[in-house]
Amino acid sequence: MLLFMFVTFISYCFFINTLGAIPQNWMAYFQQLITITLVSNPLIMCLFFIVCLIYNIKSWQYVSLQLSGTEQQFIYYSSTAMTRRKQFGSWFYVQLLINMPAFIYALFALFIGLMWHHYVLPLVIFSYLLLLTVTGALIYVRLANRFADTPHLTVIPGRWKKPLFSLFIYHIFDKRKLTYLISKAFIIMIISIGFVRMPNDLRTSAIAVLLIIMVHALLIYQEHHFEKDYLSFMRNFPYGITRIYFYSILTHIVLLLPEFTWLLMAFKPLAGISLLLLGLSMAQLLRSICYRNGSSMQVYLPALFVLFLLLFWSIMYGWMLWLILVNFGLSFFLFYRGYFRQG
Amino acid sequence: MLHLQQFKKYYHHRLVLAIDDLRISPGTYWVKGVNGSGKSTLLKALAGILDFEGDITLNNSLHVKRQTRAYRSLVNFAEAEPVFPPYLSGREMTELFISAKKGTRAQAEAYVSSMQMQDYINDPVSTYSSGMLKKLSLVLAFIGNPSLILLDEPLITMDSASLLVLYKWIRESDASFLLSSHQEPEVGNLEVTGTLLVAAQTLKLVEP
Repeated sequence: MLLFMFVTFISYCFFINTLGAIPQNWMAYFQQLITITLVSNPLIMCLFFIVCLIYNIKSWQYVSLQLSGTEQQFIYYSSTAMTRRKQFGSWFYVQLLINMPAFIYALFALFIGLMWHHYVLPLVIFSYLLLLTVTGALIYVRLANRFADTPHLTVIPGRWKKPLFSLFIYHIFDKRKLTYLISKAFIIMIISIGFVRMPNDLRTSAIAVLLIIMVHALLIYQEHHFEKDYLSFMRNFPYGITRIYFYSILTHIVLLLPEFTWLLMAFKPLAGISLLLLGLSMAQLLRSICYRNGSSMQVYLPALFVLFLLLFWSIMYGWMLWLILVNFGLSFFLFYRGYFRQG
Repeated sequence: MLHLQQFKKYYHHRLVLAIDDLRISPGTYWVKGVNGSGKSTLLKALAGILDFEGDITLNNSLHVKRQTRAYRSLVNFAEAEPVFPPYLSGREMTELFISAKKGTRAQAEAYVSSMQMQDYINDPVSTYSSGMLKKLSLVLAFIGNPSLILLDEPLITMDSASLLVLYKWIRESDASFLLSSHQEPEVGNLEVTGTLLVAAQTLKLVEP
């Protein structure tokens, strides 16, 4: 994800089409100008260094997290038998691949710098990237060779009964806090936009609700995998499909409680309840499509995209109330067909 | 007790197990087969956890796909490598199963005590070793009033004292058992009604 964003950002800088103010034959010149500024202006170079540092810190955190996973445990009792030199070489290669976009850009900057007789800063950029890569490799070697400490436990306080529908919510606070917080941050941005509460057109508010649910798509996907990984014993419980579907509704109500509260407070009662039901029906639909398309992100994302388009245009055509019925109906159908057919 | 009809299970279009017609009377059965033969697949399908083609009937009246609730209230299952929400304690897991399987606290407490789990039953499951997890999954499988208990690899990661406790539970229980294992239960510890041999993508009942 990190790599994708970095490459996209850099590609965007090179390939973005301006709004037509710059003549086409000047495009290459301006793109060169950006790079010349980098290799000639120490301030711009420092900004670039800060960005690279943040990127590398995030990559170190990511690799550390991956190393703590059960499927990577074999590294601790296999690679550690190699010499430190060989281990360093392997991890250096890993970090080099992670930093490859930056290195490619640095190479391009070096080439531009040489063309325009700027020699020092391009070499400094290269050296800095090399330093970051070496630092990353050393960190990984240290991590792979350390004696594992007792893993940090998230203590969920309270010895009250934890009902089945709440287990995923506890899981969020145990393992998915960051995803949850980022989702809520996006929600605040959506809610802050002025158009979401246009007095005479509920469609804009319904679009906002659609965006809110789409922001939760990742959490809903993770909910599906949590159920698959940790709650498979539930399929042996003598619970009917309606009861399990109802539990799913309760889970989403708790998950979307802040948003639903806002809907009920910011809108008139009838509009608020309609929007709440619309949001809930969309969440249920997203959850149910996981039983068909939730095995991997590559399958889930396209399905999500198609669903978004269908829901968006249905709202634009004013079919909001029908959508509530259709979403609930379809989600229950998919749930009924998919829940006990897993595996 | 159990009747399997036109049972077929595919994984990615590959036939793993096919059983035309098999009746299994009440008793304790050892499910035997090499790695990857389909033992766990069979037990999961019998538990109602895995989808399959065909039908499974319990006690001549309960079809797993039609009377799902009644079937699952009488069939309990313990996985080979159990995975539970890591932040829940063993006690909370037993509470969940007591509620679902209509068991009682006294019943669960008796099983926990006889497995010597009192010291860690209130700790989060994430702190458990594989043996402790296995004991917990076995306790959960005995909660309620099941007619059939399916134990997938119950003998692995268990110490010998705990195995004797498990055999005692099986002998004292009115339920029927299907135990999958690579090791045959020791003679004298458990009276086995028959062996279910999983091989060549099918299942054969071998009476002793």
